[in-house]
Amino acid sequence: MNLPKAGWMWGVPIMAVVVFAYAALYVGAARARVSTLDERMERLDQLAGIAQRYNRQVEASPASMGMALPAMDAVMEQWMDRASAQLSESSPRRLSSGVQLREVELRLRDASVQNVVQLLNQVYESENPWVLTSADLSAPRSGTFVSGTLTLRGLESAAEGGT
Amino acid sequence: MPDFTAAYAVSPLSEPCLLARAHRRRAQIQVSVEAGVSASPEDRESAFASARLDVEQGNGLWAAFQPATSALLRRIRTPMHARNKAEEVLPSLLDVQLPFPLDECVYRVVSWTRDPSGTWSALVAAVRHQDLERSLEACSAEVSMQPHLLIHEALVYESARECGLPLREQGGHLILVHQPSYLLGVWFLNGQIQGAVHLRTSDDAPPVQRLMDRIHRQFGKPPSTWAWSWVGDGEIPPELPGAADALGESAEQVFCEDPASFPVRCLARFALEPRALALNFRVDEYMHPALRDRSSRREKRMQVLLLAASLLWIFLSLGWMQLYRQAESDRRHQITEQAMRLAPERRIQPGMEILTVERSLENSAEDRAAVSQLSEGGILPELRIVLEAAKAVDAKVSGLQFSSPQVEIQGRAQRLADVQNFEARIESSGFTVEPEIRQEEESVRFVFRGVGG
Repeated sequence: MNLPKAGWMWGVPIMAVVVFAYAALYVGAARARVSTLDERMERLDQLAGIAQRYNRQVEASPASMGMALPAMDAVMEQWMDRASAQLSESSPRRLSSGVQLREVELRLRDASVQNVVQLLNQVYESENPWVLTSADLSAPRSGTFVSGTLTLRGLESAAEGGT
Repeated sequence: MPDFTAAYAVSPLSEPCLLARAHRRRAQIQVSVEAGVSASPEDRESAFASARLDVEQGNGLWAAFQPATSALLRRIRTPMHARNKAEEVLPSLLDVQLPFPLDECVYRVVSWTRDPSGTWSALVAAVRHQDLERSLEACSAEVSMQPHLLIHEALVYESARECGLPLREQGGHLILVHQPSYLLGVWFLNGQIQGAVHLRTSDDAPPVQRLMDRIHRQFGKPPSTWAWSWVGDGEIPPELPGAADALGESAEQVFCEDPASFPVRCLARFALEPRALALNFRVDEYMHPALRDRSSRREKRMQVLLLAASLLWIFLSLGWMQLYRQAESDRRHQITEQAMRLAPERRIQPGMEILTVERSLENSAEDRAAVSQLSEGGILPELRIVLEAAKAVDAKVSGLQFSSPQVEIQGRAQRLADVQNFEARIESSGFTVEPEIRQEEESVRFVFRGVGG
């Protein structure tokens, strides 16, 4: 094979080898960086999954369609007398997506078990958006009367304000 | 010579001058005699004219012998066991062993062989500058052409087999070439050329016996099976068979067709072999201008190819780099966009995307837990499970603390079995509780602490 004898002719091939070596080093490092970025992307996707689930839950709630929570004292008064139950509400907490979280606390003192059960049935079975989130009850006197605290929470449109 | 499709071989010293043509068609090379011994002067002139035209058009080349009488074919033994070392010392050995200074001759290495001792030896063909110039002048004067290839006469018989002389594959083979003024003997062993000897002839018969003696001295006694062939012009001398038998036992004569034209046919055939260029005496300042042009063109083509390949390689390398640079940039962009979607309220610093988003989600963890609890229906289903289980086993629940997922259930039952039954029922519904049971006089008091279903 007749290879070029002129020395300068080898300059370009040598440059090609140098460029290739540089490219190989660059690509090696870039591969590692891309791999790290892929891991970050994967972690962000996981975090996005958490945020999406939250958003879906909020969007699926009637509150996101502008629905307001019914007044809890009206529900409560239907089943309890004022002497055995006392209702208090903390300030609503505004969430993202234009909804707010309301929380009411129902303090019971020697309330009739039957009434409490009926109240809870009302909350559970009807389409009432109030949800029982914690209960701390005691029935010291042979299960006829109960004392303690029930906490109920509900979502409503932030535009509706505290009802 | 792969660049040419035809080769024309002439023997300017023969009377009349012979012309043979080798022509390559696909992978086959065909050899023909264009102007033989019996050709008329008109036919001869026409054949030469046709050959000149073919050569001028760049299709063919001229090839001529360097007569054995004015060239040298010698085996040079080196003391080296490594081939590259042997190649390095060869010029020095040649300078000592050749009968003329090395810088006054052109030499070509015909072959390298390893001797039984493990050292390398080279078969070298050499010609003095003045003899080479004389041959070129003879070609120019006799047939008005400048040969592209000038090959040592003995070497062209490597093509003997292709030109109709079945060389012995095993054993020895002596080709005796009768030229107008000398007799040449070319010795082959196992199909490989070993060397050549020649003797000038006078007006008398060829000096067959003396040549045989010289062959015996130079190459030793022939192996048990060997053959000889007579080519060139002239009849076989009557004493030759006897001399051959005397040289070695069981000598066999092998014939070939048209022995007179055999040397030029071999030369024409050999001229189309790639090996011919390596054995051409016309090198450096003696190189034929057409070959020099071709060599120069080939070198330029190689330069352009090398340049183009290098540039292509550079562009591919840069493209490869750019590909990864783009991939990296795309991913960074995607990560920033995703982070900005997940934490729109925060400023995203490069490299801090995950930390920023995690902090943002941590801040809203309480909201998410609350919404999640609401969407799952709160604790009422669990409360119902506990109360129904208590009713089923007739246990009295006196205290309930549900704050998802923590749960504490207090109560009493008539028997220990009822308590265990109660525990089993709620655990089958997904509760995991640690029981604390105390036996009292009329009942069993229990406290279950754990997590809800």
